[in-house]
Amino acid sequence: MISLRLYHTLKFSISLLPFLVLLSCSEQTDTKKVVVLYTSLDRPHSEPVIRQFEEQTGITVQTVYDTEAAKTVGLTNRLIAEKRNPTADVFWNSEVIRTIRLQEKNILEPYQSAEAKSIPSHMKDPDHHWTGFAARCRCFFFHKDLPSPPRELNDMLDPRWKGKFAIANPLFGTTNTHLGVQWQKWGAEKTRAFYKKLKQNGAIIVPGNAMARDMVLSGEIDFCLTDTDDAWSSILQDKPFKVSYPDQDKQSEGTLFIPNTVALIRNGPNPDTARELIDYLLSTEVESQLAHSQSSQIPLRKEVDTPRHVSEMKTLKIISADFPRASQTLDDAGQFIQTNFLEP
Amino acid sequence: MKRVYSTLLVLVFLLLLTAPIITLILTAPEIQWLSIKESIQSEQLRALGKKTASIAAWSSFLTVVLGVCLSSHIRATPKSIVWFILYGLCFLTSPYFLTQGWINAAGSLNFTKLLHSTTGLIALQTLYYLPFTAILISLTLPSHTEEQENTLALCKPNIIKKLLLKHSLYRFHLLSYFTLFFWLNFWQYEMPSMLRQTNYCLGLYAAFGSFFDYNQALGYTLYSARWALLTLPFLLFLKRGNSLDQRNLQPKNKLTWLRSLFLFTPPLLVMLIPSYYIIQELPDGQEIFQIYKNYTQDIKNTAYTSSIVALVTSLLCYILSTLFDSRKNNLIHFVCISLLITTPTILIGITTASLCTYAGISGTIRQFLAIGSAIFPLLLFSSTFLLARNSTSQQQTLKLSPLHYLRAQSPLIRKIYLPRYLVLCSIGVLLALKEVTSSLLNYPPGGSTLVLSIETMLHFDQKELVTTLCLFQLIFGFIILSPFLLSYHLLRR
Repeated sequence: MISLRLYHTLKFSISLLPFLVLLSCSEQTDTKKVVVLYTSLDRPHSEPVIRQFEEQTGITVQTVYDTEAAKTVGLTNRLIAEKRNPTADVFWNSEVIRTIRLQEKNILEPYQSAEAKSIPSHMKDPDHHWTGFAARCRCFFFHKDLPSPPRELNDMLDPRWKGKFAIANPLFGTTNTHLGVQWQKWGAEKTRAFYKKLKQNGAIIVPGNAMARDMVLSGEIDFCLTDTDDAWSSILQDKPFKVSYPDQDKQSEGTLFIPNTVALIRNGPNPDTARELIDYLLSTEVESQLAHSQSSQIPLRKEVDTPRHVSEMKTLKIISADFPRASQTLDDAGQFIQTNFLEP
Repeated sequence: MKRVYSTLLVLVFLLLLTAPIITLILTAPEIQWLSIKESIQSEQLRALGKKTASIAAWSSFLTVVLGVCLSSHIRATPKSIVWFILYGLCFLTSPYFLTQGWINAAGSLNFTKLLHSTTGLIALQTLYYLPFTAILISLTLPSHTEEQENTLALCKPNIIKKLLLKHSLYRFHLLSYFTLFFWLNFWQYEMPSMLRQTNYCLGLYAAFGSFFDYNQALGYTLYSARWALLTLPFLLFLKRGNSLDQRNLQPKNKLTWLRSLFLFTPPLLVMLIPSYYIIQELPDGQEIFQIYKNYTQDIKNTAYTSSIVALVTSLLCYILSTLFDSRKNNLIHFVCISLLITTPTILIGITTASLCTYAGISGTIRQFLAIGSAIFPLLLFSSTFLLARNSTSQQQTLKLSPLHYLRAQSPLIRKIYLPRYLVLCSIGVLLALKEVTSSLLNYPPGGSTLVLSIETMLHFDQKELVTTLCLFQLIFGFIILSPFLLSYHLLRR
């Protein structure tokens, strides 16, 4: 009788063993140095940089990435929502306007990194709340055999492309930055008219730039307006596609350069490791790594070594954008887009 | 006393049901009723609602029709348990795995455009829920009575008459299955996201996940809630369903090759074909190992998150369902469970995010809360309708036993309760492994799981990486599940 009970007890204990093994996978609390990073740069491009930082410093980076659909806006709004109890230490934004919005809401702590000295002054905040590095620019992406591909933004209004092109939702990411800059440079009237005509010409609106690029790759549409990182990551995989940079004629204003920005979060839990991470991200080494990666980002410093196709981008004619002023137009612009552009 | 107890349970349920709306209202920085009204009346939301509803309706219709056909064949064939196991294995595949498998297949066989169309989405949603539907219908649809069978045999009806007769017998049950799957399809996130389509769930995620727009999120919630309330009466017919009845499983027909082929189609389309095309698109071994090394943390996170959440949530569900079991005829409990199922997981994720941000809760606890509450309704449903029922004789024996309550209970615990609990845990693990919408807004820094990694990586033209991650999800899902199955086996011996 006793042995039978013992048998049952043993059997019961053995049945619990697998759970102990399983639970041993659980999170280990250790004394390692950590830093919490929120980043809206696409994970395939930001992850190698983060991993290299971890290898070099031994600091563990706990990262929250943004999804393609909520690009940038999701993380900035999460930072605003967490203002009372910040979880993040560093915000690495793939664009600039939403960082300026965080600055306006007093979420960023000024930090002057030694690495930022050589970065051009118009690409960083004079009060050191944020610093720009490694930019991308807006471009058209299309199949290499597409006859007379678009060369200007206004080409999207040409009836021959009706319903055959896509742009990302202008309420998100770099398309949102582009909208803000257009509103500030062109004025409200001209921008409204442009987006109304764009809608009339059957622009397909997708949640993100990468999705617009995917539609071109699958042959569903002829071209899309996207960012250079999305376009070049496909071209570098030997796919038969090309890019053109809008508005490069003498009379035109040029294309838009959008830098990544990095900022320290006020009252973040790990301020020391956060500063180390910011210094690292602003180093020429990271700019070079991003330029040589599939995202083909354009370094803001001349001395950084770049591959040929990135060097070509450095010579492009670019819009002289005033990002802080463009940031102030976003509420009006967003309201217009929501009601007049996105509504069916 | 019984009335007090019942009222308490109902109050708990009502609180659970209204929690999303109450939380959003309480934690919102400012609520503007005008803005909520505007968003409910907006053309964009209505168009999205209509489009999603029509896709969900088509998928559910096809799922139920095919599910009924499959289940009647399963019940009529010898060794139906084989089919139950095979269909159960289909649970292991996630919407990401299934969709990625078919995306790869479409690339090879040149039907990408069709797959990315509405028809493609309907087909995939139908396929994904088909094995689950077949099992559910097999276990819960009442059989014909002997008199009905005899009448049917005497009439010698043709196939159309047979179908009509079956329809008149089953129509209300079928309507309830249709309603159930309509809501599961309506709140589908992963497949439309992968196929680059928009739907109501993605719209709600954009409203809150991107903008933390409480007013718009409430608008979305209230708009769908009123439709959910209208469909509630149809769900009530599920209550009339039988639990697993041995008589239902008596084989009546031979297993012909045609029937085998028909029964084998869902596992073929849900598991085997996607697996084949997933394997076809894998990178070389060294690259797979590199991906494994890079995603080790995500795999660990997946293992402990899904197992801990499943263990705790299943226990809670099992206790609750055992309590309902003693009150089998309480309609209100049933109504509450049915309504809980129609609560979308995306809304649960939003509620958790909103509450945790407001209360300053972060880290793993927040993720556990999000996933646990997302899988809770389906686990409770499974537990209440498929597992928790004790036979009357067991209960009588327990009452009459002269032994101390715990001593009398111990063999029951070991032989009946624990194995059932482990089955429930296994279902919990499967649901937790796939859960993406609730944890998307709630995962802690560095706490990304495999399913979240797939979601963040799938739009970056990295087919090989996503394909490998989908395969990892399947393999590691099985590895995480095996301790539960092993323990079940040890305890049942």
